[in-house]
Amino acid sequence: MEIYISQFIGGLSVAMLLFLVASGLSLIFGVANIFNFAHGSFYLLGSYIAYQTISLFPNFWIGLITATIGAGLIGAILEFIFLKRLYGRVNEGPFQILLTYSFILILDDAVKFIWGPEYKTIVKPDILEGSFVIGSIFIPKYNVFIIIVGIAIALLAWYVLNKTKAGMIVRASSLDRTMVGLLGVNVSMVMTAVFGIATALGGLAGAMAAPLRTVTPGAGIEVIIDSLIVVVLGGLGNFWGALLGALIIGEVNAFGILWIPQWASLLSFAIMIIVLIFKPQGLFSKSR
Amino acid sequence: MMNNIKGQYIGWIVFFIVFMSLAFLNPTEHTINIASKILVMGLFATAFNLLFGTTGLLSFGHALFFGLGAYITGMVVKSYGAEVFIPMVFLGGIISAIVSILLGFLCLRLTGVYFTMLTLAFAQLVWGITIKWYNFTGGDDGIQGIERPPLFDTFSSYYILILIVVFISMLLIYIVRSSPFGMVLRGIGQNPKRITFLGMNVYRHCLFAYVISAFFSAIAGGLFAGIDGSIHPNLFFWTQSGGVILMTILGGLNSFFGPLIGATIFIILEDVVIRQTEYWSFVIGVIMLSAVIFLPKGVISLLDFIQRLRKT
Amino acid sequence: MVLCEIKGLDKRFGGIHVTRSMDFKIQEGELSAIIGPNGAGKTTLFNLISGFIRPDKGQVFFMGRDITNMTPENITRLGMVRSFQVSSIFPDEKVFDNIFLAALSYHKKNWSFYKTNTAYKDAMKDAEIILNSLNLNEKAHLWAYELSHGDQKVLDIAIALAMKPSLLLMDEPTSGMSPDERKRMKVLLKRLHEEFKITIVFIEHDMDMVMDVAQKVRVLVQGQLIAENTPEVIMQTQSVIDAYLGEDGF
Ligand SMILES: Nc1ncnc2c1ncn2[C@@H]1O[C@H](COP(=O)(O)OP(=O)(O)OP(=O)(O)O)[C@@H](O)[C@H]1O
Ligand SMILES: [Mg+2]
Repeated sequence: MEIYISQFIGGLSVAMLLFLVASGLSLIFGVANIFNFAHGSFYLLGSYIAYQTISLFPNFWIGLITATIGAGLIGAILEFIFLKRLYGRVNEGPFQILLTYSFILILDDAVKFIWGPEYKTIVKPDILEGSFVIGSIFIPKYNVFIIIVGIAIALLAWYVLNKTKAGMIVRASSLDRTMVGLLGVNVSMVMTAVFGIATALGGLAGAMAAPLRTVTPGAGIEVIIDSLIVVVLGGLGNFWGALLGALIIGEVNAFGILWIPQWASLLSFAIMIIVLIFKPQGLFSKSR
Repeated sequence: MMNNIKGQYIGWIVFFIVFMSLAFLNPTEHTINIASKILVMGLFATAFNLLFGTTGLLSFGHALFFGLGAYITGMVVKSYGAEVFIPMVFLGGIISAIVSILLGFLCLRLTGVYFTMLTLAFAQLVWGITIKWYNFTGGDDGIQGIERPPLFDTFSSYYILILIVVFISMLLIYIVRSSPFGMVLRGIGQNPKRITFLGMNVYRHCLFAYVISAFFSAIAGGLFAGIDGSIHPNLFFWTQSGGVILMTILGGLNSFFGPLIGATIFIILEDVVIRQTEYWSFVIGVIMLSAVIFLPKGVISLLDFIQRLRKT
Repeated sequence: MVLCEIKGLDKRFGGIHVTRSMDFKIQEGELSAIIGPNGAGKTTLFNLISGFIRPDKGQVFFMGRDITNMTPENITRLGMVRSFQVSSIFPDEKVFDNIFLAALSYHKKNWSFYKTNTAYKDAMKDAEIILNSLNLNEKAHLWAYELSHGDQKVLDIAIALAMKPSLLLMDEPTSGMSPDERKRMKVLLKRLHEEFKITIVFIEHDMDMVMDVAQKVRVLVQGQLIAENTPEVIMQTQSVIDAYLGEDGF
């Protein structure tokens, strides 16, 4: 029984990390109608920026902050310089995928070039070392921290999107860009900002995941695929759907490793395929 | 598009003469190896573009069919000997076509990004299975020492075989593209609703194109197995699908020979760059980015541009 | 003879009731107009009849068959063909090929994949006839996107004609046209009806056009068919006048 509970908690923290990455992906799609294939690469950047900062100033929290800001800035810059040129072009959809695919190739190799191909590690801050012990169950403090941050971000994002003026502009832009433009809002800047915020979320997730997983240049690709699956499960552009998708994938992986260790990594694909076939617009869609 | 009939003839002649003459210029084994890969990847990209260049449907999982072709040929030849090589290339195409009917049945109900992601998911699933199923596929080690077919067992005679098969295959794809069916596919890309209201079923036409595309992708994969005599699960990997997309964009997705030209540039560049640096991904990333931004219609569009300059 | 019968057709989009239990019959050989303010549900009505969206209730019969649950492509094959409010053409094909593609479909050649398309003489001939009779022949070798707005609308109709329709549903054939282009469209509509013997129902905002061309007018307001009569009578009908006076711009 204990193993199930600790596996469940482990799955939950993986789910929260996935949610942080996937919610960014979902946000960009929902608002800007951009499919950012390279989202996992911003996660990767987050890990490495955190690593770099911590090796200069040995403080975990500064690492988290620089990773978030750094990934956000790079994202905003890339959107501003490159993605903007595609808006409204013929075949925009496929070309977005291809452009962001080229970001993956470039960013992943840039990371390898700057920081080398070998593994990097980040140690947890002292207060998050160790576990809470309830009876015979050990719950790592760090996992609890991730879960709390995940929930906090979800609530914050919900609040900003639904209850603030900025959030209303963002939501309105997702429905009708021209209309919002006519109201005197600089839609182009809104896009850049949204893209930046989304990639910042990816960077934050990467930094937070670093102490749990080793940091390697290949990590971005796994994350993209996992978060793609999450987002597709939840329905592209659906924020709460992303949370649900992340929970499903996190837990399925956690228990898959327990029961069918060899094939666990294929489970998420199988789930995504099943969902896409039966509910192609995601689990939260009403019907086709 | 295929409006310029004369230009197309010239294309076919140049294509054949260039690749044929290579065989008689006393080339090194390395040159032939590169030329073989260009032809095989060129066919793969042309087959891929039968779907993308006409209907605009972007499959990010075409490596699945290529890999399937390579593995069917590779595994069977490994067990039963080189005599079955050529039939296996063909059988690989057939099996791939059957698989694509099932996949297309599921994937083509979706469009846009959903279609792209579902094709990606299927290909990655097969990649994962290939790696894990060690006893059957050789797992991460891949398969080595695949013999070439009798009569074509030297590197240069195998090159001739590749040239013949690729030439015929491309000709067949060309015929499909210039048929009424091909025209319907282009119509689907430009205005699917109009196609529906002309009494045609968009889904079924796309499915048929997908199946033809899968067939020839697998033929390319089967031929690939004999070039180095070794295959690896990465033939199924998404970077392989990404590569073939890049070739297509690079050469020009609106022109028939664009993907072949793109494959030529890609393979030669890969050969040169990989000897200089290990950051090949970075280089193709930059090329892809520049192509998408500055040359979305590929290098072929430069030809049009030059022609227009001459006229004015 | 009744060509097409609409029985109790009903459709809601969420809260909006766009089609309210509608009943009417389209007679073979009629040339009629549907008018109504913006958002009255005219386009939706065509979408329902042609199978593009499913009604919540009611039935559509065409040439004696219940086509309510048929797909748009099969309905088109029966001879009910549409042209669109925003011209629906193949912009990156030549003008000729736009019509040729439709003609290939009519001759059921859309599945042939082993002969070049120029091998299909019947379809070629059809396309040329249509091209000539709509005066598009001088523009045959332009790309469709190069045509003027008005010519694109004509091309849209040309594409529809290649399907040799027995019933042609035209959604605002003159929308966005100059007065000159409108005059030509008026003539074209009459010719399609008289020379080609096509039953035509067209949606139209231009009252001149309606008065001049239509033999019968149906008025749609908020999803309801409020009147059906000759143009002269319709112009005198109080409920129609009220409906339109409530709207600006008419
Ligand atoms: N697919 C849809 N989903 C939801 N609402 C729709 C849909 N299609 C149409 N509507 C709504 O139904 C109403 C009728 O639309 P429709 O296009 O049929 O009007 P119309 O009479 O053709 O107007 P116009 O003269 O402007 O073309 C409008 O309020 C429109 O917003
Ligand atoms: Mg309308």
